[in-house]
Amino acid sequence: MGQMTRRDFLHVAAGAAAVGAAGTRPTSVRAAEPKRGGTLRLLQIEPAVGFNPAMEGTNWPETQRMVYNGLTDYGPTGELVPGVARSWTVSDEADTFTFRLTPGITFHDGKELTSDDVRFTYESIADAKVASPLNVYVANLKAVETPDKHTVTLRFSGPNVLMMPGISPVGILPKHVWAGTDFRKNPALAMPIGTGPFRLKEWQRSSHLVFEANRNYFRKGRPYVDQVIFKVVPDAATGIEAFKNGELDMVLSQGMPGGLPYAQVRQLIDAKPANIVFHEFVQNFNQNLWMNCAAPPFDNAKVRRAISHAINKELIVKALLQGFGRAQHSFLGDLPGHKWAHDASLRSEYSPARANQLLDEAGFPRKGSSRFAVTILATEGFRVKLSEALKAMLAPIGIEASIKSYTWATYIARIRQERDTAGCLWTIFSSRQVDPAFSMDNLSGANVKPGGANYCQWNNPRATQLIDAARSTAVQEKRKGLYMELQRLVFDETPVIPLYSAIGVDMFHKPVEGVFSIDGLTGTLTSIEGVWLNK
Amino acid sequence: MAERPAPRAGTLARLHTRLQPLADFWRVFRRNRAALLAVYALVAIVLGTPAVVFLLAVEPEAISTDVLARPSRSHPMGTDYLGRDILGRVLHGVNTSLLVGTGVALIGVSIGIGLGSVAGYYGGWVDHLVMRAADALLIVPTFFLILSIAFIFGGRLVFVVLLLGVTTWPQIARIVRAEVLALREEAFVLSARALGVGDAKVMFREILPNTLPPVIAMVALLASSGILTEASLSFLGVGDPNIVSLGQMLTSGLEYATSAWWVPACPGGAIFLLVLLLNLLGDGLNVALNPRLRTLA
Amino acid sequence: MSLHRYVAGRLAQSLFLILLVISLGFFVMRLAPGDPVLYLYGAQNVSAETLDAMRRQWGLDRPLWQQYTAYVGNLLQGNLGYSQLNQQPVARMLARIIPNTLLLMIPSLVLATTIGVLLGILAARRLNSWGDYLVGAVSMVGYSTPPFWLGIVFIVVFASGLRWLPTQGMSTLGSSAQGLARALDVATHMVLPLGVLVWWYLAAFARLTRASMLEESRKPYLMTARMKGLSEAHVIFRHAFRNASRPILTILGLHLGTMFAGTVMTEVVFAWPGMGRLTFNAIIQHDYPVVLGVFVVTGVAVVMANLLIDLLYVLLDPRIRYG
Repeated sequence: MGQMTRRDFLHVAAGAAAVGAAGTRPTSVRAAEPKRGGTLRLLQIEPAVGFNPAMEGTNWPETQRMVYNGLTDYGPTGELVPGVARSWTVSDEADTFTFRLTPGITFHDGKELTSDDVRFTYESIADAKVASPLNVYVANLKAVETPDKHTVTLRFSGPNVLMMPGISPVGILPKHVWAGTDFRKNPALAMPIGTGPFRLKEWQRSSHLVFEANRNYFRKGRPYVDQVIFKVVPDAATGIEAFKNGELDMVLSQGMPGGLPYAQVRQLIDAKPANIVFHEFVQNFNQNLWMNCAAPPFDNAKVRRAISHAINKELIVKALLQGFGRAQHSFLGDLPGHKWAHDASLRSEYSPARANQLLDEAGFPRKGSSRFAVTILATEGFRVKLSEALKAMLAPIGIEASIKSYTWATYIARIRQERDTAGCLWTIFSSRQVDPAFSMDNLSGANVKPGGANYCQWNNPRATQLIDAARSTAVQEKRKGLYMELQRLVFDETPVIPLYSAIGVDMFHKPVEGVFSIDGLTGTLTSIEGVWLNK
Repeated sequence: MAERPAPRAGTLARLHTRLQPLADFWRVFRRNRAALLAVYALVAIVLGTPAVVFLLAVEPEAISTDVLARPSRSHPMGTDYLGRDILGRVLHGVNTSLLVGTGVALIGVSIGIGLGSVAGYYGGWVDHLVMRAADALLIVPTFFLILSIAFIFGGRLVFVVLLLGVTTWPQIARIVRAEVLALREEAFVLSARALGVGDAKVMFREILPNTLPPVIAMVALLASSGILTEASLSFLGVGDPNIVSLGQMLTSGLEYATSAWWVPACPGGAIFLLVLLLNLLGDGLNVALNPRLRTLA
Repeated sequence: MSLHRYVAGRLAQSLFLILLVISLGFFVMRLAPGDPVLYLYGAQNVSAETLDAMRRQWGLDRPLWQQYTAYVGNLLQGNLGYSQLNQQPVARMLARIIPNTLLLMIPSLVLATTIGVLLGILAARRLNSWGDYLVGAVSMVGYSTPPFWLGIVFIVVFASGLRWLPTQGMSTLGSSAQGLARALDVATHMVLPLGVLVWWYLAAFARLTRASMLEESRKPYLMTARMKGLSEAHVIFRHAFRNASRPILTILGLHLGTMFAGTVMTEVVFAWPGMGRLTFNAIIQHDYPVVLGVFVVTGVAVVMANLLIDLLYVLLDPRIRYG
């Protein structure tokens, strides 16, 4: 690979069927014989509370991945590579998936991993009693067959386009540890047993997690480091200072609620420190501005469009993200996982004049300087800064916004559970968009009821129809056509305003080698097992 | 726990010549140069900042593309992460902080005087009830209680001020109660009662005015601790983003401490200055109003 | 009233109050929207039914009063409850974390009182001297700065800038040092947070001691003592300070809660794995049993401390009757 700018590289890497993208420096991957030993120290902002992949879903992927392996894994450029499955076949209808497991893989307790464990894991995810957050993705699971110890076949009652990119990398649980137990009370919650490159040695909640190398790891020779410590530092600014000071070896973008302390990172990069390496990579999510489409004034599409013209996305990226991001205009953003279905022709220009005109047309004339009042819901930290910017941008078009901030749980309860959002705006980024089908769940009419993921309560029958249709075919060209129509519909109706996508930055000190950073369903993944210390 | 302090030497004299104490107070107070300076500065701030904000029509929420600009002629304190003029925001923030301080002190003092005097004057079960309630607030990790309440119900500033005020009254109530207990047995109170003057009248005319000096000294200290607590709550994520407050400016600016120091340093400095002035004032008042310390000043 | 009955009465009263506080905390937290399930899964595309199933698993679907009586029932049996979110008994979580907080709080209190009292005495002795002013200025600065701001400034200057000390944590990550080496490591990590706390507390004690000593210094008994030819140190420490120490103790008792709040912020800034951090996280996570557990423990601690102070009065001044 020749000398390329970061952006060029990203464009190449994010091919048609790409699952994620990488901003990796080829040199560090190609480096000489990895050295063994040493301790790797990483930053974690929000302390992990659990590991079990079936129960945590996309929470704390950085620590989940230490202990568990999925059938597949994400490779350095985001492609699927073998995990505990050495090969797989997918039927043309994408409803039957057969995986052949690598024999001789053992769990941390010495028991061999077999097709039974795979079956148990997927059946648990689908089991309503377990209440796995991932169960919506395997809702049409019909049967899991295990013709022999090392073969497993998953049959779905229709196409499951999310199985490979989204669900196949989910960690495999040991059946003998979890079967027949209460998933919320099993002692393995505190001492997880997986096949992963590391085993958990010590877990001091809200302080640190210590992992030690699994010497029987099935990928021979790996992992290279003896020990990995995740240190919880709740204040991101202190965390970055600790990293600068050499108390931590690595900082991952993942696990920063609301994103990195961008200014601090920008300053660090600009200082060109000789001993620090930075990986920048496109994160697979859009930050979106949501509105309650079921209540005035946002039940009027013209009002929603007006808001989309009032917001200066470029300024948000420049000021709040310090350039670590890109303005987005389609709900299926220009992201690695969406690229093949993204409609680049959609553009909502920043134009307060147009916004004013639309509001006049919508029947909200100015009374004095103001038309109407809205509430912006926020949580602490970055979301408040973003809300301040939104508030200031709404003022010139005569919308008086006041901000209310809560804890995350109360925030999401108001939006999702109570649906107490009439006249409210808020921001939530749709999680890990490795495939358009994931994000589109947020706009499906099936999820409008309280508790469902359709936060904006936009109940459009045509959209729901398109969403379902795109899910029930495996033919990529057909899906693309459906998503194009859907995108246009969402753009015209504007139930949600895409703001930006972010660029993640993984930072590490020079002796750390073998890092690659990508963004998959389970978060920003940096495969720690391949990391070694060059000292 | 509370002890009855010795009856005050000057009480009777003060009662007879109502103006004399003021003159005495001023005579002592003005000798404390730091406190005097604090008074001048605070008066200037209290009158000055609203005037400046009003006259210059400072728009603290106007954003611009000039993000994180260094202090310059056009922005004497630089701009913040949204390109807002920090000087304008600091001026607004000072106003907010003064309101917070005043609010907390007023609420704390009113409840404190009310309950403290009732407890001291009536004694018995009333006293018992009030003092146990005061103890309760001592036991409660108030800070956490405020934190959880504000977090969960959204950190409206009015709400935070109210909570802070409501939880600071015991300090005042203790002082007032002790004073009232002492004064209750004084000759002038006893004689007023003997003359058939009603409870309320005795309380308001004879007793309360005499409990005020130590309370007044506390007001400045309550205000300063209110301002500090507001800042601390902001740091932990409880704040009212609709109001420009120094605590929130400081907190949201912390991540720029190394890259754009003026973003946190200016509001941080303003908090420091404001609290310092209030503390100096409180100290001065304490000495000047406390006859036992007076002679030493 | 006998001492026993006094202490027993105080304890009973306090227990009742703590129970009151718990109830308040319980309902305040539970009446607000949001729960640990949403903290964990609110951002995932989980179905509404699955969310409800999770609540059932954690017993969050039961009527509030049932959850309340169950909690109080457990509490009365000395059981602090179980944190579903952290899959641990609350008592175990607290037991692991409290020593870390004490490690920060006790030395800072001891240092702050000792230095504060000495400075206060010094200032009172040399009234209006430059020393007096210096003490006043130093304590004023500490007292007038938000503790978290002081912490960040310390980190930027001493850790990031001068690189003298670590920025955060309680020990070097991955260090296997034992014994003395480990103690030294922890001590190095303690310097900055301790510095913040001591400076912050110090101010209160220095100012208070100065004021109390001034009051005592004019009392006739000191004249008598001096005329008796007792040494100045004897006069100051055995007589004046002994009497001046009462208000200092009272303030110490009254401010334990506030000091705890200062510790919270210091712990958050310096990533010190203590109670403050735990509570802060628990509030964010809506981990109710942990927050309530902290209420109970701090409540009991404050009650005990104040009781101890009251008893100390009796020792310091036999004239005082309890009651």
